[in-house]
Amino acid sequence: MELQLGTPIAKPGLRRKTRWYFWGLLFLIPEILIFFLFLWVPIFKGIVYSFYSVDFVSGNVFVGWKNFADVLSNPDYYTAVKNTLVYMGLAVLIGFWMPIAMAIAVSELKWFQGSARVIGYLPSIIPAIVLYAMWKWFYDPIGPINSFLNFLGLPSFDFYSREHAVLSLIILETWQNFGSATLIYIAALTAVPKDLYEASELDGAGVWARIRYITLPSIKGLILVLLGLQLIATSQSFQSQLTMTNGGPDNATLTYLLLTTREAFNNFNFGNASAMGSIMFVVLVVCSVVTIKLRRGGDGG
Amino acid sequence: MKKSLLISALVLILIIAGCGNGDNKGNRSSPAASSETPSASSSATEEATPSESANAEPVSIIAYAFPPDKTQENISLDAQIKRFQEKQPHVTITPEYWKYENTQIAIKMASNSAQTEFTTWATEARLLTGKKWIADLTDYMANWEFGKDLNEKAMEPYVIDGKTYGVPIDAYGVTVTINKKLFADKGVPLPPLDWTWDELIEAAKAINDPAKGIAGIIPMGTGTESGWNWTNFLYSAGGDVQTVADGKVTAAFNSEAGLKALQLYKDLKDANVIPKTWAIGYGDAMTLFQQGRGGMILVGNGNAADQAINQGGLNKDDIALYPIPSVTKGGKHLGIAGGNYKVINGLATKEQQKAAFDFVVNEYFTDAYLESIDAQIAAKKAKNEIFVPQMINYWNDSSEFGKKYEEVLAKHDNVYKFDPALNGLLESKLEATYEVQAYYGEMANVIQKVFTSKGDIDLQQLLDDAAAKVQKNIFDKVVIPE
Repeated sequence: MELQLGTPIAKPGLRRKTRWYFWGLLFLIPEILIFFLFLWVPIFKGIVYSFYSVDFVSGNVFVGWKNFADVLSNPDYYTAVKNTLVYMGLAVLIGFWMPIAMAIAVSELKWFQGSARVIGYLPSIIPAIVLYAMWKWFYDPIGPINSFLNFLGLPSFDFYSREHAVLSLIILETWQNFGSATLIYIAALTAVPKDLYEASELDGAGVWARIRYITLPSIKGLILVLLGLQLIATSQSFQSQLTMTNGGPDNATLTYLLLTTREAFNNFNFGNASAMGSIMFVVLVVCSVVTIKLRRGGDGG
Repeated sequence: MKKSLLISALVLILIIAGCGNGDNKGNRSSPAASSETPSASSSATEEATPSESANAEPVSIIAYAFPPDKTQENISLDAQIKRFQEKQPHVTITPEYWKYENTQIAIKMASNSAQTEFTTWATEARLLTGKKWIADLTDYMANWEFGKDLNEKAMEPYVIDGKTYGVPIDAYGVTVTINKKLFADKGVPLPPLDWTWDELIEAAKAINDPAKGIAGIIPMGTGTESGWNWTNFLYSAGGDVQTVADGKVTAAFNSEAGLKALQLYKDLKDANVIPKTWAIGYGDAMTLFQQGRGGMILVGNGNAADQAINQGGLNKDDIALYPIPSVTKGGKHLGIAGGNYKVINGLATKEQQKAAFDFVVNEYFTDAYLESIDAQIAAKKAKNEIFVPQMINYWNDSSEFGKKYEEVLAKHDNVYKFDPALNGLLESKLEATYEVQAYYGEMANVIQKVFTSKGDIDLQQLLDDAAAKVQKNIFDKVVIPE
């Protein structure tokens, strides 16, 4: 039946196909325009500005590699790179497994699954400004956490000390971000065929065995994707550092992007800031290409 | 065929979009040769065509409006615009709200969307003139009948190399604002007004109550404001941020005075009279002060008082203003000079700049100005708020106009009154000239090291390291104009 229908309209089909592309492309135009104006043009301009001393009024002056030399001779640059790497590492160590554990826990629940999902996602809907004000209060010397510690007869904890400042920020970020990641994992878990679990239960597998041999392998691909996304996101983190500690104490929480922002908006050194952005861009592109290559290689094997 | 047509159309759109963007860039980044370049910005300015001669040709400018909730101030501004337009009907004035922020000004200038005249701070003078973001007003000042009556002290920050770049609104030196209630609660007397550093520490100890989260004093510990706060003590000890000689800027804050000032911070930390966390910026410090969680704060005079009384709900009689303490009895009470200034956008056309200047000074030294102050105080009264005047204004207090202003204040009971003795003690010193924000930022690191230190710490070494770093990365790169 389908074949019969298909044969007579073979020729007009071409026109239909063209028309189909026409509408498709038409719908794409806004997206392409927005990407072009707000992503590709800024990226391109950022790279160009890396080679200029930027002055909006008197005009830009080409300075060659000077901005890069300036950036690389600044000791704060290396502090920022080191801090960012430490932050990325610790965020994986402390925060990355949380949404996975949460998603598995929620999917194992027999009752209240819906409520647990909502509760898990709640932190993500808190506006950033409220969030930081709230955590400033949590970490306050007389805030709820320290009051509780004192109530138990324990000494107050200094969340902003040199040793603890990074950890304090990671806890905050983990708390805020794990909701959306949890939802993605839960969605992936619902796609795992139920019969696998039923069969394993018949074979006498316990909860741990089910998680280890069925759940985790089923969502392995997604875990890798989200790991990549988290690394990219944490490599660009500066919001909580800016609001909570402003890079302190003594640059202990100065991240790469925070230093870039400072160069641009405190020191008005847009050339240097662009140079830092360009270096970051190149590094991230290289990392992405390597990751994609590795994954393709892995898939092939 | 159609497909290729479509793709060509798409490419064309992209190119057009790209060109549009490129055009803007060209306009903005091309050497402005100051006023000759027509302003490419906001709708209102586009109407004005630059013409050197025809004064009566229509000119459009944008005035610096107040935030929407400042109803009375905006009503006054509208009335002011109307009165000005009666005199100069060819000038169209549109009020627009954007409050000056030093982290936003670069963007506003790059997009040429700042108002034709805007209000800024004393601390911004070097930045704004160095970048040519504001216009030279020397000629306008010379031709203005009241140009010579302005308070010279207030004008200082915006007089650079003999040229004037700003019209003062008000000025101040940094002072210490004190919450008197905390002293009363502890039953301790207030320190004398001509106090010393030792008396500051004693006062801080007296009202300190860590268990309740009350700190004796709230020194800012993060952001550039932290370095700014500390520099008051550097000045008070007789120190300087930098010296300028033979076209070279040299760091000078690692001097003996610098060490003394840093030792004061260490003493405050060791006495445990500062907040337990160092992560306190300007806003945090203000909040702590108005919550009664700190007894003393260093800000421009009036600011902490205004916020604590009108937003924090503190009683006006519980607030006192002190000068920065002197190192020894009878010494100088030096604080950093600050204030608010009217400046004219350097990207505007000559005609717009002239019109904006005329508008800004139109009601200086007039009864209309005094009437608008009178109305503002009355409006505050209706909202149960207190009017906190500035200590230094654009006029000389002893002048005829100064006396009239005092009469206006005397009519109201919701005006904050400074201790008359304070004016005699206060002295202010201008901020350092070159790259001061970068220096403040580096000092923030030093202060954080002191505030988070455990046990002994080599303060001189800290200062020397910071001075060497600032020297190499910042000061050595400063090019002083001939």
